[in-house]
Amino acid sequence: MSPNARGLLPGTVDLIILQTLTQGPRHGFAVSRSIRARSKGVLELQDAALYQALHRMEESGWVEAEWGISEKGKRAKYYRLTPAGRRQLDREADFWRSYAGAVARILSPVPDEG
Amino acid sequence: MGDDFRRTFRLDRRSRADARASVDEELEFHAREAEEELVEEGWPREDARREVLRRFGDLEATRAFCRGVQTRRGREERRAMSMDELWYDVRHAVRSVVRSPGYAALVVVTLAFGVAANTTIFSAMRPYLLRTLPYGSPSELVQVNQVNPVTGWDMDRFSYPQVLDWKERSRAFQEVGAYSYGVGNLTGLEGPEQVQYSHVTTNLFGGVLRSEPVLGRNFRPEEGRPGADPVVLLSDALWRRRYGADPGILGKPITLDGAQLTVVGVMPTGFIFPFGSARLWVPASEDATADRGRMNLQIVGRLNDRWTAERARAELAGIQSELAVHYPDADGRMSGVTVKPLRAALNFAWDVLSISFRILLGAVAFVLLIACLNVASLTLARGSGRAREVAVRAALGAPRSRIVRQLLTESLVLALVGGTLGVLLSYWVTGVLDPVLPEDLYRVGHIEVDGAVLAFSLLVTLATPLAFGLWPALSASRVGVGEDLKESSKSSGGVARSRARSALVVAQVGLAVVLITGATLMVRSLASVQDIDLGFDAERIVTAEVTLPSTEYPTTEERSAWVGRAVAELEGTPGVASASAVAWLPLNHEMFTWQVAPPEMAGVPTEEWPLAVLNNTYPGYFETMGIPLIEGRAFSDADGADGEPVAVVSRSLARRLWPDQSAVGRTLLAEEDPEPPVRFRVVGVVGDVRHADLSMDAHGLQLYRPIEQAAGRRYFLLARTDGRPAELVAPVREALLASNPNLPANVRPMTAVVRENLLQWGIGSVFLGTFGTGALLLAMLGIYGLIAYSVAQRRREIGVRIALGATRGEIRRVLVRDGVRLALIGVAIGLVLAVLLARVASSALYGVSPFDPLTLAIVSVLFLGVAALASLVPAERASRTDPIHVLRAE
Repeated sequence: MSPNARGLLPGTVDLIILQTLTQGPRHGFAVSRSIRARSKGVLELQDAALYQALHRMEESGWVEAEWGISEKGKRAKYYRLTPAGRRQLDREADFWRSYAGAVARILSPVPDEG
Repeated sequence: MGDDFRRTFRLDRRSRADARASVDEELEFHAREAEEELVEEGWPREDARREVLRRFGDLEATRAFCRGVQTRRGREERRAMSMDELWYDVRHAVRSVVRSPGYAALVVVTLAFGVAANTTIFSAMRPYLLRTLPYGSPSELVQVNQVNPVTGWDMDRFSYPQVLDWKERSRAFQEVGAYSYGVGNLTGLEGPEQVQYSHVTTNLFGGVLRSEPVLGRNFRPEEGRPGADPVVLLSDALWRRRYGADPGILGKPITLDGAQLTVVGVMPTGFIFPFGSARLWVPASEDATADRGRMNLQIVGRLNDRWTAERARAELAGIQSELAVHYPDADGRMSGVTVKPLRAALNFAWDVLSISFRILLGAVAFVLLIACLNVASLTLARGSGRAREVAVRAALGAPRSRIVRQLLTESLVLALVGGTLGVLLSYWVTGVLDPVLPEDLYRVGHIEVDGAVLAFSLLVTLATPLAFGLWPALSASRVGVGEDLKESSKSSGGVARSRARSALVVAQVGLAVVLITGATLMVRSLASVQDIDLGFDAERIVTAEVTLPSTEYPTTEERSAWVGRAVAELEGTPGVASASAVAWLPLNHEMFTWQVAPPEMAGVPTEEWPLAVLNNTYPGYFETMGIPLIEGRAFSDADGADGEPVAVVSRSLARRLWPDQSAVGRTLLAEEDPEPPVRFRVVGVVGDVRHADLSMDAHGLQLYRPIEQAAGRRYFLLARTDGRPAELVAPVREALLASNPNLPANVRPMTAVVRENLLQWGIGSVFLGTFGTGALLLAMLGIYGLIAYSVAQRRREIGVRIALGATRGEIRRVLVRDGVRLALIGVAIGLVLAVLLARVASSALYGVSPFDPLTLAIVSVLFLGVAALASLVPAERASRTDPIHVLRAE
């Protein structure tokens, strides 16, 4: 784990999980490892928060779950993105992009106004 | 990773435990994967698990959260699923009902009849037996009676000094009040009118009954004292009808029996006391020094907390015997006390009504049961026709519970339609029934289908599918899949089902026999009651009830003079053959008794003297009423107020007092309480009449006095006609108005008075007759259905028999015999049951034994005939079976 890893900002947990599931159905452990790999250890999502988010989103209808067999032949609970989940992801992603853009613009050096 | 995901099975959240287990399994999977990962990184296994848990975060909180979510989701899914199934069942039920309209119509009509019968009887019961009395906390209210040791009857009258003594000595009551009732004449601008009214102690409404006027106020204590200004409370009905609901009536005077009374209040709608037709209330005279022996008040008390009627009775019995020692002439003449709930005490016909309603309720329960049996039988038959459909569904994987539920839904849909129809029918019947029932019988509100009745009907309606649908549904769902798919019309389930249907038909016939037997016994009772020799001729008499106001006729002489004028006026009326007057009309539920004896018994305590029914009569009474004079003479104008006290006795009384000797010319002692006995000379003997009620026992002893020697205020004038009494009602009313234009009279043919005594059997005959006929039709339908069904099942066999040479007559006989045999078993069971029930209810019968052979014979013949007829139609059709056709069809 990278030493300068930080907890996720509020509101980004759902976004990241939903984004991970766009690649296809995943069980919880796979989601966790996929996030760690893609953020290169910068973003740390605690497992407790991950599972609570998955179940919460299942209740909201953004993901649905089924039992499946893992690559190692074990019974695991797989989550899959629903159309409602994909719409939610798009909304969240748009917001984050404009938010991040705004922050980036503010952080860029201020040109002289002369 | 994950793309190789294979779906195995859907998430199982059928129970709470499943939902929790799925969360545990998911988290355990995660932990094991993470542990493996660490071990691969080189962690020792024993530390790996601990590290996983540390990195996970708050595992227990997560577990709880996820379990909560899953449990909730499971619940929602189950609900959605059962709604889906229910909706599917209902649609399926409606579709399959529409596909067989004949079956559906039969079921709906049958159930409608059953539900209507129950709803109607329950609506009729409510005002008499069930609905809350219109007073505050009515369960605490009781009426107190003393017991007459000679007759054993309740004596419900007390004098005001007695009321006071009981009130002061008893600890049982929060408050004690008293009342009496009578008939009076209202006069004034609104016209003369005869009204029933009641005297009440000033504390009765506010203190005992806890009822307040809607307008004005209750009586004040000082208004009961002798000499107080007279005041009156009006009923809502009188206020609306006679005074146009004028609120300005308060403080104004009205005229009752010539006296001016000031209106102080109007009681609320629905307030009735002591019966529905009492229209106004005046304070009873609360005079502590009044004559103790003049008992005219009935006591109503409100029991204290934790005092039951029985506990109060024990206390009051003690008080009664103390008072009996102090006042041997008044209280000492009674012994013992009874305490009755107010509802029973206020209803004159309580005993008759409660037994009648119990019988009718039993009858309608039977009707409903028969209806359910009939529908069960129809449904069973339909079930065998649907064996294939059920088998297909079972083969497609529907569990048996699901199939049963679906068949039950079908029954429920039919039941709801039938129930709705039945309730609508009751709305109509109760609307017709309510106005014709007499207002004098104490009842709360009207006979109507109200909320409680609707709830009852809904309950009955919802119960019926279980009664008629469950068994057939279970039976229909019990199919061997392969068997019923292979076989079609020759289903092997047929034998068992037809045995079940036979049992249902037997049960139906049995129950219908009970009802028809009950109805026949009632009709026979009614006939023997109508055949009773009343001892007088009611057919040709018109009666007119009048009450002379004491203000206008203060003395005995004036009252006697008016009666003389009125009788003369009647005699001069065209169409009147003879006229007279009497104090108490026979069969009008009024009875005045004296204890009488010959002089030889003078030494015997009066309590042991025979009790005779007294009546005061005007000359010409016996002739006008058609009561035969057996010996001696009747009264004449010579038996005036100043003449020698004379009496006429009935034949039974003469025989009782002077067996084997002539009564005429003898002296008779009569106890005129509390005075010493009066001596009368007996001048004549007349025939017995039925005075108290239609039964002769105990009341055949009658004593008559000349009315001029005992002139009261209230009279029944009598006119005898050679024509029809109904045509005489108007002329009689005019003749009486001619004698005093301000005097209202209640004019009725005597037959109407007699008919009131028949009400019990009349209602019993009509209702049991209707229910019985309905039950008979249903049973007939049941037999017809069974034979038709069995013919359809046995077409092939019948075809073979005909092919082998059986004649049509033989085929017919075999089938009819089947139907009649079932009916025979049903009749036997039904008759036994009917006789047992009739013995229990024998007090509702008159002049006919529960074992009446004629009744039993009529019922047996009727049912066997009906069974033969019902079997004959399908049998006839079967006998015309073409064997070639049937055999080729195979």
